Amino acid sequence: MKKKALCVFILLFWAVGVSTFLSGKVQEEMIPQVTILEPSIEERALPMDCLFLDETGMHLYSVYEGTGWEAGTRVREEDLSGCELGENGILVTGWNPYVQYASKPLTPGTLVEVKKSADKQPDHWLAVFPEEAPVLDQLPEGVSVAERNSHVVLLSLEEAQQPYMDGRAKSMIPSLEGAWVYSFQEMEQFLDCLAPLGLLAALLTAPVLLWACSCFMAREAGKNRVFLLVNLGVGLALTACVPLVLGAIDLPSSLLPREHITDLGFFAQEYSRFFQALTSFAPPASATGPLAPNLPQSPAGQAIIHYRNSLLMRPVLWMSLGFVFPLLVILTERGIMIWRNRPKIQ
Amino acid sequence: MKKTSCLSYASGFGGLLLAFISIAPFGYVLVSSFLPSGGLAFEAYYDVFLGSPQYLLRFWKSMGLCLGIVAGQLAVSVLAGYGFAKCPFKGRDTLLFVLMILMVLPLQVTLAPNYIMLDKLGLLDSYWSLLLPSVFAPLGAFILTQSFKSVSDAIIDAAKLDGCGLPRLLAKVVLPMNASGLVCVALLSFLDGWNMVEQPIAYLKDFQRYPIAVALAYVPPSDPTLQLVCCVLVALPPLFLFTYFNRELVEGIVLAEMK
Repeated sequence: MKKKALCVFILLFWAVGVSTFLSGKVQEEMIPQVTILEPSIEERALPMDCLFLDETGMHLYSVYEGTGWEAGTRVREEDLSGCELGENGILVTGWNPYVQYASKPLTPGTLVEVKKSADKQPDHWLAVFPEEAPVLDQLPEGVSVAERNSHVVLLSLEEAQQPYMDGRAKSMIPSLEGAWVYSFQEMEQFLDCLAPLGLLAALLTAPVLLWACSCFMAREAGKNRVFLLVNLGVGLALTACVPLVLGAIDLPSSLLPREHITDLGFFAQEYSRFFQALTSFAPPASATGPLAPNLPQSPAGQAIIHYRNSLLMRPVLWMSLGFVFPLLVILTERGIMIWRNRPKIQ
Repeated sequence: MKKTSCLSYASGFGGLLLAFISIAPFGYVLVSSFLPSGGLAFEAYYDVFLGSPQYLLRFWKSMGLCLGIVAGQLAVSVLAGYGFAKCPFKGRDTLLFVLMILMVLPLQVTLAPNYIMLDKLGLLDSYWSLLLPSVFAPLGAFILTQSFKSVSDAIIDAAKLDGCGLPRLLAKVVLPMNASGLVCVALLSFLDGWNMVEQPIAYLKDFQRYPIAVALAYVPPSDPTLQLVCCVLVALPPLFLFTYFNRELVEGIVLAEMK
């Protein structure tokens, strides 16, 4: 009974410990970055950018400081019936700071990070339109069309505010309304995180496998005490590496799901939509030959596809370490056990 | 013969009923945490274990606090218990009697004097205000006094003759012979610390310092499933301690009662 209880609870407490590291990182990553705006004393009008449109309707969010379990800067939804939509924008009655742009869709009560200033960097935006792409003839200064086809437009920007925020991009180029817009900077940042994510998966898998093996060994705990201690030590060492690997992960906010980071379908959808749209710029196979790589014409598009191809196998390799390493430890222990129990000649 | 059989059936049924009544709330918490509105859902588990670190950080802080209480309580109780059990001095029995009276006093009675003392020491709104009163709780000293009385004086004299000083005597002779008493004290003081509610509310002002058992009451009532998942989290350490140290706990209490 004691051994069974110890086996089960070691795993449970390990899971709680690892969850503590993971939840800290998940919260850090999932916090939407927002820019805020306070209505002026004279006008009390907000620009229309402050309205967030989604499948449930229009929303206006303000920022407040939570207390207790809800400590931190959070957003709450304002009642739109108390506001007037005029020519100057939205006339509000309150004096709260209102959210203007957000790096990802918001939900009431969400913890947010208020961005006061933004870095500017050259970037490329890939706009995927659900229908025919409109003609983008009135582009702001420093923005040009690098490549386009019927549904997809690749824009080159000399200076783009970071981090990428969908509302800000669509406010800058109103023709992008209704399109899925992706920033190359953010996609590269996402690709950079794949290898550490693979390593993280390995670091979480290996201790579980060692634990499973140790549970079998615990049947003869007296005989296998050294091996059990080794497994415990290795498991703890691997777990101690988890925060280090988590430190190397910095997922872009615009490519994260609205609510749960475990929504893997969302990642797959965004990733495939981006690269399918990018490869749709490739000339037809009849023009380049059947064996030619499916690449867009623009150097930026080609560069990100080459970058993806160079990184693609790394997470899988790192992840496989999570199985190989504990297997090696277990086989070594088994070998030592057999060698120890070999028949000895007197 | 038939009478005995009926009696055993009745007592078996009574036992089952009692077990069911005791386990039912925990079963309800566990099942409801997975089935918030009829269907299987892990939303609340995601919120507590992955969505935000505040629940788990509070869990580990409470765990650290309780381990501190256990360490302090054991140190104080071992020395006090040995003194009461094996060191004759004037007024020993009176002092033990006072200790027993203190033990049976309700917690609420000592709350105000403790508050005044902690205020004078400048320890309010710090973890010391929870740690110190728990470390000097008399229950541990009482249990170990009774437990140490079972060690024969001849063994202690023999150890002294062999050159054992007090620390060695305790570490090599007395404590190994009273392992179940020690485990019992450790367990009870851990649970006391883990389940304390009134003291944090009285001594702490900052919500961020509240142990998880107290902060649980402040989980937003808009999401009852979240509260249930927090209950599952809070139940983990006591559940482990009871399943692992079940035998020692029973032995320790029985030993203390026998004396």
